[in-house]
Amino acid sequence: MVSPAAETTFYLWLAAGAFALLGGGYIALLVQRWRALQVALAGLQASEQQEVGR
Amino acid sequence: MQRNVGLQILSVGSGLLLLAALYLVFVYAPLEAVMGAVQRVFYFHVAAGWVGALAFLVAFVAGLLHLRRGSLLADRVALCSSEIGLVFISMNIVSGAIWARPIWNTWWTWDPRLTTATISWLLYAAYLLLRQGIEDPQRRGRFAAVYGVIAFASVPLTFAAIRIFRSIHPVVIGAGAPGAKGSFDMTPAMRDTLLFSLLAFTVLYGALLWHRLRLERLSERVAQLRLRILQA
Repeated sequence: MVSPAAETTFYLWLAAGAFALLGGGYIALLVQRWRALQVALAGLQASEQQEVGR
Repeated sequence: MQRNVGLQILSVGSGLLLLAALYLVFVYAPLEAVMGAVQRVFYFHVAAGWVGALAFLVAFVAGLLHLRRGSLLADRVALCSSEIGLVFISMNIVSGAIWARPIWNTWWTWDPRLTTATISWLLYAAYLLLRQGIEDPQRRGRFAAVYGVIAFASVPLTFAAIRIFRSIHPVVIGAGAPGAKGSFDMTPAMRDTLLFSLLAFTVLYGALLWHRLRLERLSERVAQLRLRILQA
């Protein structure tokens, strides 16, 4: 049997983990999307330049 | 896209405020006598709920502005704010369930507050899903604005649920129902920690909204460029 103090501390850390996972996950998703869009933009700008060159 | 100094300052500032809030929550705030360490969830749980409500309020006002002026910027703000609000409401609901396990002896109960918060979550999740189904930006904006204005009714209802219905959810600020389980009297240090957490989360919301708006603008730019190349 774990002590009540250890149990309540476990749930506190569980909540901290949930906050970190949700908040960190969302920020990581935004960063990943930003990078993907930057790559797409660079590719499209290069294609547009080629079109103009022709 | 160019580097934005204001956004960088806001991002670093929100990170520092969050670290200071963590210090207050884990070190400065006293240990609650009955609930023990798990009571510390309260500070970020309330702050996440506050930011969720604030984000939905911003989306509501932006929706009204879009309906009045047809502004695509207002529609963009409504979309970004709703998405961020959904993340914070998720944090609020999940942290509440984790707190409830040792205090109420259950992860979940269909209490009025928990039910109305879940309804809000579902409404805004549906908002994000449904608006993706409309191609035309003006039509999509109008639909989203009307939906967002109606969906916002769930936010004041969630706030008032524990004050007007019989509920076991504690009311820490103001008078609560006598049957509430997990209530406590805030000491001045607890109140300071709560207020600081609210500030830190609000600044974080501002930074996230700004970042998300930039991302949306970039996404639109990519879509427009793609269309131009296809049409050429």
